[in-house]
Amino acid sequence: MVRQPTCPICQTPLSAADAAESRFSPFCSERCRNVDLLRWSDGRYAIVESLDPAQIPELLETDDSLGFEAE
Amino acid sequence: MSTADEPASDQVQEYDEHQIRALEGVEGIRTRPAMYIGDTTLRGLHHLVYEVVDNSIDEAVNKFASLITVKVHADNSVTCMDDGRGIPVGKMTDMENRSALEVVLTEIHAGGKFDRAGGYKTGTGGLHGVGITAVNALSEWLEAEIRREGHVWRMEFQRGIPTSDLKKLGTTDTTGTRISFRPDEQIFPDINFSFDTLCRRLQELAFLNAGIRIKIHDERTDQAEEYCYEQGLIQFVHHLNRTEDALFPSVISFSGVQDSDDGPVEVDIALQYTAGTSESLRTYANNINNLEGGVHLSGFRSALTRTVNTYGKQKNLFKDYTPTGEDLREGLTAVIAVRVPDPQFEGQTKTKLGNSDVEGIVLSVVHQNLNKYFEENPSIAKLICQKGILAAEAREAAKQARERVRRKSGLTTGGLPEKLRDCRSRELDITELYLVEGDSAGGSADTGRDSNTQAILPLRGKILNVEKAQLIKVLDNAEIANIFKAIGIPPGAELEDVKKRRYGRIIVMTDADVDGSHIRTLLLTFIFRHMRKLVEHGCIYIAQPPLYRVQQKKKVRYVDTHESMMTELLELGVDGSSMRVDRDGVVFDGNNVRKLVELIVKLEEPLELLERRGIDLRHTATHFATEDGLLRRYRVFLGRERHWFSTSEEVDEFVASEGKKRGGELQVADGDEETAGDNLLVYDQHEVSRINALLVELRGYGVGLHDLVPAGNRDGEPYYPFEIINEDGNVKLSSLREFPPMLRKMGERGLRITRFKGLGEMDPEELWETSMDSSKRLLLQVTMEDAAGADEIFRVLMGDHVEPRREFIEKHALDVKDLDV
Repeated sequence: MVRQPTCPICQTPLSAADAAESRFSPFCSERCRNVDLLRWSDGRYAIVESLDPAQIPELLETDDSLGFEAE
Repeated sequence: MSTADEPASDQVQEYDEHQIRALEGVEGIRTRPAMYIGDTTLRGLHHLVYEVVDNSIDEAVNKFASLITVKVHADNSVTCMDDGRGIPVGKMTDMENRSALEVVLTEIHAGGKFDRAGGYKTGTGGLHGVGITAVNALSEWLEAEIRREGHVWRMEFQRGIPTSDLKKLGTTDTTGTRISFRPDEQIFPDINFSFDTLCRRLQELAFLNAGIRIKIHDERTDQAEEYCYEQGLIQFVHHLNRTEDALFPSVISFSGVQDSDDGPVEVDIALQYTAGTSESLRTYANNINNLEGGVHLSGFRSALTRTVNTYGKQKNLFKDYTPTGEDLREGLTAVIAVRVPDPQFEGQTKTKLGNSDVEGIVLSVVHQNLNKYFEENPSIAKLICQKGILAAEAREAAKQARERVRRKSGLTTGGLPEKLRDCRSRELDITELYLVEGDSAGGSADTGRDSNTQAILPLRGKILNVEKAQLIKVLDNAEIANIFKAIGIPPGAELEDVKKRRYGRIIVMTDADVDGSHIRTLLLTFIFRHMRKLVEHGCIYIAQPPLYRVQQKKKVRYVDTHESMMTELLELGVDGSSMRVDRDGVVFDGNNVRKLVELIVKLEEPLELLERRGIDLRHTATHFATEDGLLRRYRVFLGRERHWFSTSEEVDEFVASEGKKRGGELQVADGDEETAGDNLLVYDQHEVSRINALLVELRGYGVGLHDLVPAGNRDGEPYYPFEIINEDGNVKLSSLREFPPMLRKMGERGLRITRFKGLGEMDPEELWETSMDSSKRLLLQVTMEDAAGADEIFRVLMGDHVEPRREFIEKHALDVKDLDV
């Protein structure tokens, strides 16, 4: 998975030096770093997997940390 | 300071009321030059040249001239030439028979552009009739040479007063106006023209007036430039963006004409977005740069905001944020040029366009054309919308970041998180913080830990969206804040902050399954992005809780992964087992059983892949296998028939011959076999080559493809071609594929195996023993490469790009190791 590093927000390619040393790394700028932090804070970063509907009751029973999110 | 009356004193005889008025005009300009050219600094000095050039531009815009030349001479005098019609020289009977040229150069509010009859079709810049008179009045001397109607004419002035009559010099075939002047040092403290300043304006004029050629030559330094832009504003925008990365390569441009009360208003616009954030908007009315903007700017802005927002909403592109007008101008480079019949300028520098009806005209031209462009170029429209959304988001993010600094609160301060179970020691050398997924696991860890050195922060990492039947794993705002607070360093911490962290090691502990590895990826990505220094400093670790507990009599062991559990069980099953083949009575035992099982285990994954394609192994083995018992790699559908081929050459041959039969190339299907109809569909089943290689090895043991398929009935009774012989009891098998699972089952005898569905299922002692006791546990230190890898995986797993994600998950579904960092 080695490739040219890019800013996670705006996809600007980062030079090797920037990627290693910039104080905003792995972002290109403070602006993009703030945007990323906002996205984490808003809970907008999620790993999403489709579920087999049959699994849902089981998951609800077994995992006390599950909640609901109405869309 | 005025000396204007000196040359005039020679001409007392002609002194009538018109002369007095003209002199008063010139005198007025010299007394208050700032009223006419802004000021007498360098800016006003250069303005003299622009006033003269503007007249030539007006000739050029109306297609009477094509070349304009500016020369700066050694004494800071300037010559401006064009190849237009030449200023009229005829005598004006209502102006005491003075020549039109003289009137134009000496009378305020005299000029050819007050009515359309002068040949000017569109709005011009030099409309006030002041410009060239002011230049004349403020020049030590001025010389006008006109080529017109076959003759060359010349007239000279000093400080606005004629010093010669209009003289005919001779004949000529050409036409044009040539004005030379030297700014008056009594008016201007500094008369040194700047070549660069002049170039900037002349280049701007060349951009604004497509196709016009403008040359400049500075005789003081022998520098010269030439400007001509056939594509006008488009090239202007490219020029403005020359040092920026454009968001898309093309420049969007359009123009339109609409009638106002005063006549037609022309609108020309070119725009492009850059990857950056700065806005660069330039507005011009009749070639005059409107530094303060005005109605055309507000019309453009409203139209841009309205058009993008309407489009974005219609296409459902705005979800979390809707960009404001300001957001949509981030990274925008645009040139807005209008030509207005009677421009009204307002504001401090008289450069703000005030004609109220122009606003609506610009708005409607932009809205119509931009909307059309978006419909025709959806990918560019989407880029612009996304850029606006990011700007809106960045605005919100910056606001929150400022709030954090201002309130000194939020993410890092305001006490320790309620859920944190802190440790007593404060020595970085020995303290550890466990980030644990799930409240119940957190509870076990809390009870099981060494509370002197180990702190626990339970994290809630899952939300189930029942409606969409999706498992969504997120860390919410509270969790993010808790992580910062517990560790005690701010977002984007520097090295000094790292020293102030509250614990020596931060250990991420999640379930041993795929779910757990996703949460771990999420956490590591977050840490990599916002606590990078901790990773660089080697403070981040991963705990490795086991997946299985194995109890044999009183002895308890733990097994970390599914793979090692399966291997172990198989090994236990193989031990003491042999296998009898019914058809020839051969018995495999010892090492041969082990080798046979290994081969069959290796076959399982490619066979499953094949079956997932909807291929029935029994049917295929019976009807489509090769003579020597191997599978064929290529499956071809054509005309609702199915064909199998071993090599791609065979496929090519088949396709060629069928093509010939049907007269022409075969139509290739787009979908799957359900929808292929009569069309051609070729499947290359890569896994078949792995299966065949293993089948060849199996031959060495006298078994083959058919032995992998359940034998079914023989003489009405179920037939079992194989039998496992073991002292604990023999087991009959209907196919070889049942061999490994059966052996594993036999391996389980005498063992109690528990698979932990999560950390929460371990009791505190188990968790301590397996994952927290520093003498027994295995911690992995996270390197920068690991964390960057997690970020990479995270981008695939959470990203908008559905395709790569599906590909990624399919590729790694069977290989959980790849998700483990």
